[in-house]
Amino acid sequence: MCDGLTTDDRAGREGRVGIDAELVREIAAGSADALGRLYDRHASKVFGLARRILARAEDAEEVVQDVFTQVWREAARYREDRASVIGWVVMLARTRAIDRLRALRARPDQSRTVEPSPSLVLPAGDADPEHVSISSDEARQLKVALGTLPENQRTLLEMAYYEGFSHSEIAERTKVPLGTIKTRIRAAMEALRGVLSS
Amino acid sequence: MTNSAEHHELQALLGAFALDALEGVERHAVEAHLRGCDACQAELVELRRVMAGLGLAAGEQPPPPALRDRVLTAATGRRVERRRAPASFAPRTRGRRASDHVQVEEVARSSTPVWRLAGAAAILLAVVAGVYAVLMRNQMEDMKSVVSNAADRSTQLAAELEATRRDSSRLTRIVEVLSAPDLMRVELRGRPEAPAASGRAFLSMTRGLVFSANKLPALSPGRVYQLWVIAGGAPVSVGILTPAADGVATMTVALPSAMASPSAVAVTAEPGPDGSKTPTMPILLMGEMKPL
Repeated sequence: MCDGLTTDDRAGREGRVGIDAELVREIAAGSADALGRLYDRHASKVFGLARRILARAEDAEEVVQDVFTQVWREAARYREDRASVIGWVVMLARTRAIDRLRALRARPDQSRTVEPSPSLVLPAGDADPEHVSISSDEARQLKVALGTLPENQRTLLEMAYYEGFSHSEIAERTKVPLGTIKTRIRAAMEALRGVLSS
Repeated sequence: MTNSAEHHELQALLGAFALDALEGVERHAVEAHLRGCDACQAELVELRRVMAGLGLAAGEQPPPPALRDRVLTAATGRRVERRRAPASFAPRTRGRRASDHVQVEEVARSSTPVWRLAGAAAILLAVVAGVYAVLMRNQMEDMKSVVSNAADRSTQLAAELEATRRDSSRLTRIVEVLSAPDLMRVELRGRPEAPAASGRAFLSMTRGLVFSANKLPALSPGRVYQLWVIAGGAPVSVGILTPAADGVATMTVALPSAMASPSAVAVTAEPGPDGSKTPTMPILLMGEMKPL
């Protein structure tokens, strides 16, 4: 596969993926120590994303707790053939952080005590939306590609991704027509999808 | 069946769906379409990979060190401590040992005096002894840590055992009271100042009192609930009630031995923390005895 990786890069990536999958197996078997090691490997990514989305560090810390609690509870459901652990963890982080952000927006007067919908039950009809396969190398490629998007696409994509706004909310805030919002976000996502499939 | 135009229209919304940026009718339409379109499901999988990649692109930031224990303890319900690295053989002595070995060999070949050989052996022994001492000291530290953890766990278990014993003792007393031949019962009703409250008491002159109440209103700071038995026409304090956050209060207690025959049970609000010698009006909860 011509992906710009050396054999050593690929071996290293497979090793890291293997370690994570093994840790999740141990977590599913009830090893709190394995959860600690997974935390040590990935908490910085979770916290980094949560801080990008949430203004207060305390809220981001709550997201970290939510994510690793969910990993602990759902480790037995993790499917190595369907997701990478880091993909799963990052998707959980984004979901939890956006849930919390939206809850804070809805009740700003109770920002210190607000709890997002704490359900750990996945939405019906969509078995595992957080089960995603992504590698660190692919993430690096996406980051580079994100920087090359036209600014009018990147800004809107970031409003949706990091601020949790819907199409209509973005249109309201930017005063850009809704149809244009839809077109630009679609174009941005297609461009980034193309990076992964190339 | 979705027609081609509708399929393309909904397919165009997949990126926004993956971003969770769709609402209402559009969101439901895409969800419904996905249930029957394999191509769109496959595309959604790819778009979710983009989502994960964007998450990693946000960059890393180490959380506060103290968060680790808090998160792991909350997640697992157990205390999780960071592992210590096991003691390892100090590698830097390896070079010295190798050079000692070479030196010894060279000495042997060149007929070095015995005293030099002995000196080299002594040095080697000292190095080995020193390394062994380091090893033993590290093992001792590990053992101390294990013993300390065991002691902590032992203290925790002792506390749990004590709590269990207290609960067991309380339950035993409850059973004793409720099985008393002279058992009396009183239903308490809330008075105007606590209309929603209610309670029940079981008394035995020989075995004690079991009391419970619910929906006791919260008191202002510095005030407490006090339980009284009206005996011989006079109020006798039985103790201070401590309701839980949900307004439920229970008490199991022995009665004063010289107490006259009780006729009623009452609850009042008094200054804390120790209550009063006589009840302060108004009475909040009260009931009269009924023989069983």
